[in-house]
Amino acid sequence: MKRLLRRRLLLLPITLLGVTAVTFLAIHLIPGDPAEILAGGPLAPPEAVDAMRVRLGLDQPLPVQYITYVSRLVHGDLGTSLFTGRPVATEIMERLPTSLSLTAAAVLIGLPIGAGLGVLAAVRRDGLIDHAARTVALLGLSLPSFWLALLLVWAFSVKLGWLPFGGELPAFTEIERRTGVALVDAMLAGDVGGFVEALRHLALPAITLAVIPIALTARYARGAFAEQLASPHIRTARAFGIPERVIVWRYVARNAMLPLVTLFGVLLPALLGGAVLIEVVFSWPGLGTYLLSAIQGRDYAVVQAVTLLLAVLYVLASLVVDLSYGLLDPRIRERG
Amino acid sequence: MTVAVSSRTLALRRLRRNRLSFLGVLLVVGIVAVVVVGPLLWRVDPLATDLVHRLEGPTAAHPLGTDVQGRDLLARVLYGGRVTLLISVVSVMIALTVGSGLGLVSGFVRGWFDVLVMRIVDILLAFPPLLLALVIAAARGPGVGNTILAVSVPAIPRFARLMRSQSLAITEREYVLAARAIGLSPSRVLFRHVLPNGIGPVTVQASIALGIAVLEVAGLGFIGLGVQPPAPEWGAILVDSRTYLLQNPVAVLVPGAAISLSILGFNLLGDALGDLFDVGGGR
Repeated sequence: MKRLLRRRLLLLPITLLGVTAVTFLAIHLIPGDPAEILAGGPLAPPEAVDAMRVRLGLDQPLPVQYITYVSRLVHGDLGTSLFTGRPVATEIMERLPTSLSLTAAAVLIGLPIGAGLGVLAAVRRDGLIDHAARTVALLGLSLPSFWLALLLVWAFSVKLGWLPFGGELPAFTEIERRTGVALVDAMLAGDVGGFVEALRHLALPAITLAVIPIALTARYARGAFAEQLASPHIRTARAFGIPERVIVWRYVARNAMLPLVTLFGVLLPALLGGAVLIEVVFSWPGLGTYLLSAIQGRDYAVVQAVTLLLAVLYVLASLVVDLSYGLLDPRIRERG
Repeated sequence: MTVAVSSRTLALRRLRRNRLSFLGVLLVVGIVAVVVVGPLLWRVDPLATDLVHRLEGPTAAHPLGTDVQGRDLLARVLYGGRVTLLISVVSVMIALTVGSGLGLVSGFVRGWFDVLVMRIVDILLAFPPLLLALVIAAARGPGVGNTILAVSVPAIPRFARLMRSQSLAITEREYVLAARAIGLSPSRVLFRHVLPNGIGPVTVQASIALGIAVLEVAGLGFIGLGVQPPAPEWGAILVDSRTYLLQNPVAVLVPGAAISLSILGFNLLGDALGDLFDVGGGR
């Protein structure tokens, strides 16, 4: 375990440096002269282009640019937005809670449903629930989230009129902002009406995003439980006449948890990617819409920063998954 | 499978898996056939506008209705399929060639080359694929060529990793040792022995990558970073239609269903190939 930990922790800074190199170089992927494009295109006055070049540090040699970039990052400086002129770090902090609330809601909906489906499917193999679970898992991984979002909007907002869509709250609703998450802020302010509205606005995007955890969890849980149920020690337990319920919850569940941990490693990138497009469809004021409007407005500092943040989150999550794998399975711990 | 499972249950299970595999093959072949043959039979110009008949529901003249500029949606979905699928296939072929090539050589020569390639692969794997595609498309701008670049680059590392592990394992086998012992050149050993024996799982990965590619091409089209209007592309048709969800929901339903069925088809095909080459385990 110590060796595993040491190796992974040694590799971490190398990977993170590589990630910063990619986000740094992304600006050089822009065809032509980035300074000219960012200053407004070929019609921009040469002085403006030069000023932009200096502002972006593009007049410096590449290695110097990179070192400046990294040293700024280390000091928590993610650059300033070309459009608002505000620090990107500040803007990200305003958007992050909103995105996290959507992701958290999706996981809270998706994990129990997915796990329930998967376990029932494994226990009643080849039964009705098994078929249903496998269909759900297959479809959940095949339907593009942005299309599903449109279908749900059409059904529940347009046709039935049950749920609103667009943003976190109805237009012109004022809530005292503390955490940045409308749902939590309304609760803290004791605003029952606001809370209900926030919940209703959260429903459709959260359900759309929840399809990913439902499908992935059902697939993993079914696989893990089925594998355990087929193992010799369970056959022995059955031979002893231990009730099936006890077998499933006491013996199988514990051992089936291990592969479930890796699920988070798969789930996180899927959620991060899926959330971007879902946020766009629902005008959810999170990181996804922030990233997309930055892409459309060619606000590269913002694009770089958000990408970097998501990649770092992803790297750290997979590190945690690998390490917890070692913690849960003594065999991996020993091998290191 | 050690528990008592009757041979009948096992047979049923295999049959059902085969049925799903069959469904996958059917979907892929069906969709490809429809987008290849469809435009030959339904000879309506997908770009022809008709402002008198805009936003119509399904009629005999326009079975899927028309869009906001009066263009025939059936023609757009058929031609759009060619665009979406062709871009996906080309992207995956590029990723497969570059990725597997790097992995094959990495596992064969090992040493510093292997370390370097695998570090780069690790770094690329640190980005969620869709995010990487978004960033590349954002930097390069929209268009067909840039969409191919944006979709192929994030797919490279998985091919590289897979082919490397195949290459590492196969170079240890006796027949490779024998081939080397009789003095065959390294490139001959690599291409005649290592590559053909390691390619199986790569086809599985290719099928899965095709599903992801369709999703990314349509996703980029959907947010306006992919194929540009007026060219038809499934994701772009979808975003055109979303504003008119109320007038013609079929225009949202059909392109989205086409995307979903393609992805489903490639996923099932991947599972079927996985069974064939015995990788990925039973599900």
